[in-house]
Amino acid sequence: MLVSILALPLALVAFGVALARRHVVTVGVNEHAEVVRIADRTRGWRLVGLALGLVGGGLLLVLGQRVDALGRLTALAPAAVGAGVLLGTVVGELTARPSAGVRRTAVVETRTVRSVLPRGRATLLALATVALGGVLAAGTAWGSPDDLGRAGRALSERCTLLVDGVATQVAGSRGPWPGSFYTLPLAATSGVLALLTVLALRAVVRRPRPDPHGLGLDSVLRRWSAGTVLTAALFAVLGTLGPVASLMVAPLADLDCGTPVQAVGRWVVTVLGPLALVGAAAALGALLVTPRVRVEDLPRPLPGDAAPVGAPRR
Amino acid sequence: MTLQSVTVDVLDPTPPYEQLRRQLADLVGSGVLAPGDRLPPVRQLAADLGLSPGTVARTYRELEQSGHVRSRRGGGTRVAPHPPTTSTPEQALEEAARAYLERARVLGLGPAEAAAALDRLTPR
Repeated sequence: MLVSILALPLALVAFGVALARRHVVTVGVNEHAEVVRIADRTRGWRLVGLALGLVGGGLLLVLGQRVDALGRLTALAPAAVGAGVLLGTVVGELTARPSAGVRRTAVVETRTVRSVLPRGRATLLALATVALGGVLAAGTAWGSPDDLGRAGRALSERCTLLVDGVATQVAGSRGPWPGSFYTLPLAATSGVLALLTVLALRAVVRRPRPDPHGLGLDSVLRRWSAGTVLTAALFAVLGTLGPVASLMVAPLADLDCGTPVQAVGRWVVTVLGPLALVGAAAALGALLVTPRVRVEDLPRPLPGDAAPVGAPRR
Repeated sequence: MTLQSVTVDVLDPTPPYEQLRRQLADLVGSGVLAPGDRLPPVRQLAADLGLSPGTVARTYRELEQSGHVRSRRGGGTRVAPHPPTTSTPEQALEEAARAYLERARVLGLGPAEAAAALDRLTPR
């Protein structure tokens, strides 16, 4: 819980850092008009998606508890934010069509998802996904029914221990535990999110190229869009991983007859939980500040123009 | 690596698939596109040019029949290992110039007017 509270200021710090390091490409007032129009459209839809995702995630956090007091809906809030951004990206990329003139030019090239993928973020997302898969699998494997018989909601143990030289039967159950009760809906949502991520990346790659004169800027736009798609997916994965891992720490620490694997798992989730929450906060901060193309208000001076230095002559 | 481009003029009486076929055949035949180079996927090229996928698919089919490219399911369309080498880039340019002069003649204009138009359009 404490880590969750710490995540909010971390998100603000990440937002500030992202704002300071924001990528802005400046173009002249009459340069690459078509690419600028596409950039505005795709960015606009991405922001609409982010806003809808934040509203959806907020509703799941606030109202989800009323519908399902055990938190299954609340756990889907990060995925809702990620899905909002991904859907916004898909709509933006599919509807941003360059205007077709009488003479149409296309570059002979094969655009692939790999060519627009930021390597670092892709690696991070792959690692986070593996970690989430591992945590969900461990939670499902070690889960058992709780006192009301709900499958996969508690961590039970039963063994014989030597206490003061006397063999003593130890049995107990601890919860809430992120077993199948929570992991199955989370795994299903993660699957949908993975599909959305692939769909969004394909939409980014398949968007028709505008005028070949703006080829470089168009490639930059695609890399930005792909980066935002990965950041949205990363936020959803880390935002899910953080609470699930944090929820595992206490039941695993209280085990009297835990296996060596569970002992290792305890240390892993103790480190993973806070790390994932910090990462999710940073990803949210980065999502709020997306790169953009700025259009200069005044045309650039031509060679031979008087330099704009000194006071105007009266 | 220099990116090559193809242009389609929708007002040109030559059908778009033929305009595209001629340009791609020139790029392959003159060695600008080397054997094994991958051509854009049909849907991508069609979207970039604002044409229907069927038009680009027809171009690729004809290029395959003439031995310029090879298509493989799942592997895309690639330049054939031994495509027919029709011309060098200079020869291809002369061919295009001949077609241009022929068009000027159809419009009732002579070589001087055609050269003047070319001169006007040449970036300085």
